[in-house]
Amino acid sequence: MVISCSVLLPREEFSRFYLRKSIAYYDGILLPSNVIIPSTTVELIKTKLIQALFLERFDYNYLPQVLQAKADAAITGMGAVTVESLGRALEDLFLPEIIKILSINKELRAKEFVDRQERINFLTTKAKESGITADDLEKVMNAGYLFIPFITSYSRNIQGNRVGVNIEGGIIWYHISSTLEPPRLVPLVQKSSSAFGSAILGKKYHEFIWGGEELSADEFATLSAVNAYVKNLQTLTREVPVFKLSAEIVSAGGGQIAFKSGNKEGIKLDDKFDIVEFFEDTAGIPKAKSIGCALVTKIANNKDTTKTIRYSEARTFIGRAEPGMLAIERPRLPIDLGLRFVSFPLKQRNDQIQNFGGELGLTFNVSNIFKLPHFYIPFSIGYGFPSDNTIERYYEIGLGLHKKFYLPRFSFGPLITGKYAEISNNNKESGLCAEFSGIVELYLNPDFAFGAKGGYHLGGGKEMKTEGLIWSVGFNYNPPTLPFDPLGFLRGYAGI
Amino acid sequence: MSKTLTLILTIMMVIIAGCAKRQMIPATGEATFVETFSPAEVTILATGVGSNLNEAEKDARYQAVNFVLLGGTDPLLQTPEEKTKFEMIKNLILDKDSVRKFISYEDDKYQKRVKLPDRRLKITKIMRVNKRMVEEFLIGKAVIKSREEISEAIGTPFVMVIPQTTKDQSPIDMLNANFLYKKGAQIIESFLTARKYDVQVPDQTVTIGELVSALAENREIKEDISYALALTIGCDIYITFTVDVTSGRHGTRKASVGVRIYETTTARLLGTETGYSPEVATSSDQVVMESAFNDCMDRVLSRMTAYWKDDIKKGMQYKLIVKFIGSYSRDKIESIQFGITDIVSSIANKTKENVISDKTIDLLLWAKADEYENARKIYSALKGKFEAKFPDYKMNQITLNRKLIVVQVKKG
Repeated sequence: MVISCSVLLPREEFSRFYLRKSIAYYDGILLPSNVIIPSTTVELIKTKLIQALFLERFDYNYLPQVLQAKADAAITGMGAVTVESLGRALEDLFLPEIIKILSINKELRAKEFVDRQERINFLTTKAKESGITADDLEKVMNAGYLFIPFITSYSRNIQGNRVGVNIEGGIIWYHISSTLEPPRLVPLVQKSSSAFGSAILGKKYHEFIWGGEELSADEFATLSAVNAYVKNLQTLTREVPVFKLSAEIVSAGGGQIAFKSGNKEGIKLDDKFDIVEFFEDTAGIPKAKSIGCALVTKIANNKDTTKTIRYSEARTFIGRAEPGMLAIERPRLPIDLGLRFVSFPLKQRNDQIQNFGGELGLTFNVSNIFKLPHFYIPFSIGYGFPSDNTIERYYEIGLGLHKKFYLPRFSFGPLITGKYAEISNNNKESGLCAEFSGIVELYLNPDFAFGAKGGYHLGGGKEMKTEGLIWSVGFNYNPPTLPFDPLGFLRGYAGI
Repeated sequence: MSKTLTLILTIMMVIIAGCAKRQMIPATGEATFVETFSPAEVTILATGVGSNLNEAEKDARYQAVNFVLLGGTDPLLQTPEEKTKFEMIKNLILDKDSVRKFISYEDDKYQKRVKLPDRRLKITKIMRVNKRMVEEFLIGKAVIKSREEISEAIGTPFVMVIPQTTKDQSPIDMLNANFLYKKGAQIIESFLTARKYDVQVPDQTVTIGELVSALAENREIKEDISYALALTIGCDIYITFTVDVTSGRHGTRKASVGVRIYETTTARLLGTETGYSPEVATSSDQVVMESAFNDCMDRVLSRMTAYWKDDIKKGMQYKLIVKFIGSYSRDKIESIQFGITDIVSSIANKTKENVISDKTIDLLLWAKADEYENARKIYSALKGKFEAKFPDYKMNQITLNRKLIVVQVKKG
């Protein structure tokens, strides 16, 4: 089975506010004939993918199992599979049912589209009608989408005592165009991703750090790869312009913006939103341009209409926002990758040793766990090159807590880190350390920042002391996707 | 020397090229009518342009109020006199800072926001202008006349409302048979009574007299039963309407209504407006119909008010029919015709002759409202002056109502 794509429609236009979409899916995975993949892995990918793509911004149109079985049969009977032929094959099977579901629910879903202006016109105030117009119903009927997952490559390899699993694949999105007669599945976009996971052979893992199902090394490596794979596909789906959350900025001041979107759309703390302004060229054509970026600090409870908070709030850290501009989602993983040049303090037998080196950091955004915006758990691995020839190497592993405060273009905040440090010379010596520091970052763009850290480092072993001033300079990057699940990767590597 | 000259020429060319690049960008505010929200308020979609958001919003408010005052087909300021008076107080009302007081609602959402190539900002948003407040402000500043003033001058306008029918249908039967039409008439009535017009929807008790039918026939509008009804009732203006409710996409309902205003005495069409409702998910035809009426009634009434204001200058309009009974010599009939037209001219501000024949005189007259407050006084004056001028002849009334004076002349 070959999946090729000749026509995919580019959709780059932005809506002034997000129109809720309804999603259906093919409950199977397209596999090329040369890819052999365990059925448990297929089931795991399916389950995790559906969990990841069941975003709160979507309504779901569940298709009966009997139709899914018919779709399986139709796809199996196809020779060369293209995006178009696949769409045509599923059109007759799925669309009548989806259109039926949309028709039944259209008035309920269309209530979402009745905006404030319509809520206070004659029809709603005097005639006590719902105010739902044919245009609103048309939007609901035309907001249907269908996705089909596919895998293009799967491999398992063993190197030494480690097992690795690689997955490559993606999803094809179709738009259900109900304006056409009869309705058609129009290819929208194809998103591809790849991910890997690894584990130590013979080690027993658990699904979660603390608890969950017991897993073998193979199973854990697969789970780690699948987690990364589906997270990537989730972000890639959120990046599709028609699925991006967008809302008009209703107020702006003091570096804060407010916009009409909330937990109903699944907004989370520290979600990034581009601030977008339209610029008209001399030909009169408006073009959207990002002029800034903001991080969500307060989420509106718009599920419950009786609540008073109607607008979500976000802190602008790049650019200046004004009412009427748009806040458009900028989907990114809740993790920063850092690479820094560091001066580690090191004393041996009261002799101060110059110890420069590098540090690799993974900073996990945990704002949603602690319900505190701009709150992070940084994990770092540092490697030093001491000037004393008697010391072969210096390395440290740290885990900390970091709170950021944002100013235009800058962020600053305290960092407390607990560390394990080790030096190797004739004798290996290790010790526990603590670091109290402050970090200042300059944002070169919404995802890339230049940072500097300064603070005090203390602790160490009997001979080795790591007391003194510590400083570092480096870069931080907030990626949209990663080829691995950072936590799974660390657990797989460390065997925990 | 040549180097200096080259340098000067180069600088000049750069300046000219720089100037040539700059374009005039025709970006000014604009406004369009959205709906009549209530008898006092209209919803306007206004676009404002400014150097920043604050300025653009001020401009949008200015554009919205300016539209109500001067824009569209039926602005508040209609006559040249009103516009001239308005120029003197323009700054009091259209000042970009104070215009806000006339805005009763401003949407917090922007329909459009775009930066123009010259760095100015253009915004579009929904606003509701309190038209009544603007009107009262203009009345207070003596720019326009209040309805009370107009009413005092020429009496309260009397309007008849009936559905528009084909020649085979009776509007009264249609009103009785079709609830939608009855409801339509009620909606128009509510708009008219809110503006203090006297309204009548005719019922079965109204019978069109033979004479009126004959008059209608003479005017070659024999199939227009509405005209005959209006003349019978004696209204100043009559309104006919059509209603069409259709099923839209996805089972929605949509209504379109057509409203026509006529001058009773001549059956002259004063204005036609069409209103549309949005396609709405509803099972009630009345709701979409009322929405469609809301869409056009403000314009209909503006058109009617404009006509009424225009009429105030000429006086109160009447249709006068004189019938000659018996046979007359050519000289005599002409002498009587001249006599009657002279008498009418003396009591009227203006006259307009429709038909003058051996048998009838059919004309329109605009009587001085302060001297002749009703048809009877005109008839009385006409009769008195005629019988004084032609003592051998008698003038008697046949029909007399608010708009129609039908008399006969015969040898006494």
